[in-house]
Amino acid sequence: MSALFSNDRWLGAKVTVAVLTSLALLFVFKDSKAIGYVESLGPDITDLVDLVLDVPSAIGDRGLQFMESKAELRERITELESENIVLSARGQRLEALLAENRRYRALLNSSTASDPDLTVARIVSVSPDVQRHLVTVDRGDADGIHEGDVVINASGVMGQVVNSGRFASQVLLISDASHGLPVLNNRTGLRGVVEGTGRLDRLVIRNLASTADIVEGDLLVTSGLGGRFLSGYPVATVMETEVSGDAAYLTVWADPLADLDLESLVLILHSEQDTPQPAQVDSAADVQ
Amino acid sequence: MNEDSGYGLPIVSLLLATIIFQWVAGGFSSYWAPRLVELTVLHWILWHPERFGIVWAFGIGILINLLEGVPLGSASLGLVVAAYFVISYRETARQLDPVLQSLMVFVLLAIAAATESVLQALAGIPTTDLSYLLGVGISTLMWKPLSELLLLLTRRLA
Repeated sequence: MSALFSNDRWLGAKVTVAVLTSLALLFVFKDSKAIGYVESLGPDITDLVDLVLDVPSAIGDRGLQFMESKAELRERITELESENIVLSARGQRLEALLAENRRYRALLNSSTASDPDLTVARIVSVSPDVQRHLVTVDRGDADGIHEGDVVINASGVMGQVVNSGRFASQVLLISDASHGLPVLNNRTGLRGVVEGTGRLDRLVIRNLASTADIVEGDLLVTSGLGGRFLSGYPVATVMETEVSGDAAYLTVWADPLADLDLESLVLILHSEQDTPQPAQVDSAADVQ
Repeated sequence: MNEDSGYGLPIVSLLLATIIFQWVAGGFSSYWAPRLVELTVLHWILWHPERFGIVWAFGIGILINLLEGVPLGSASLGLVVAAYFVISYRETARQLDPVLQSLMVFVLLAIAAATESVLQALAGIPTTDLSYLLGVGISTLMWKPLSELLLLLTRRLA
């Protein structure tokens, strides 16, 4: 029992030190390099846990592959080859359109946006915190992924990398309540900042002028303002508009185009010189 | 009840709790996922306060923050407060009947979750609703079975 009493004697001091350390971590050393390093372990730990969880299904997959007949495999390869040809043809068409677009831009003397590098990544887990719309992908620093890299899928923008570990990264989805993204209305060119609401199926643009030309069905694309998201990527479609009681402001509700809760494969846009820039942190494109 | 099983079982149980928590909360539903890691650490603090106390609660809080991708320290503070109450009133808590003990765990987990939520809001991450209480409710239902299982394993391995 003496051990218990000696523990009790120091209990108050231990609690005080632990509480003060927690508060210091949260509010004093939040942006320090050491804390940044510890936080970057988060995605790697999550990835490691996912690897452990994947062991049974990996063994099952190996077993199924072993049992799959050669005829089935050949059929699957033929199917993939056909798919590859179709995608290559579409890619060539896209290349032609990009070249044409560059020529038009040159004629107009406007700057051309450089093509970013693409990395395919797989979502390995979702944050257990119900308040956070954060996913972990299986690509990190080792693959050239850095904080601020943009994440998209086949339908539209999904979010941005907020924490990159060595082999995995955490991506904040555009639906997170702390996320803001500069967009423009594809039909009229009207600019705004679309914010997350904490719901996967709903984004919002607040405080537009009540006379703004925006209607249900309008497509919202990234405007490129803020310097983080490249312009022209589809983000959401307008679901409904709501005028404030005094008729001064307009609130726009939009539906994200990317299936934020369904996708497992994503594309990360980045370039070699794409490093986190503290100057951009205050821009509207960033996490608040 | 304080059979000595060393640190082996507690560490294995915490690792398993972390893996299952990540599997359920990260794969199926964050809303309904029981707070298994917090439950496990509270169990060890309740029954072995001479070995598991405030420092463990703090460290496990940091681990939870890393898994959740939220600022470090927000889960630690709530868990430290919960651990303080468990250690201070452990003799009384051990004597409570299952329902009252589960109710106590509900209150402690709710305090920990609410503290985490408030601290995150102060650190710039807005909270949207009280949905985290669903997970706390499910955890309360799991407290007694989990605690009894760990006590049984402790006795067997002692």
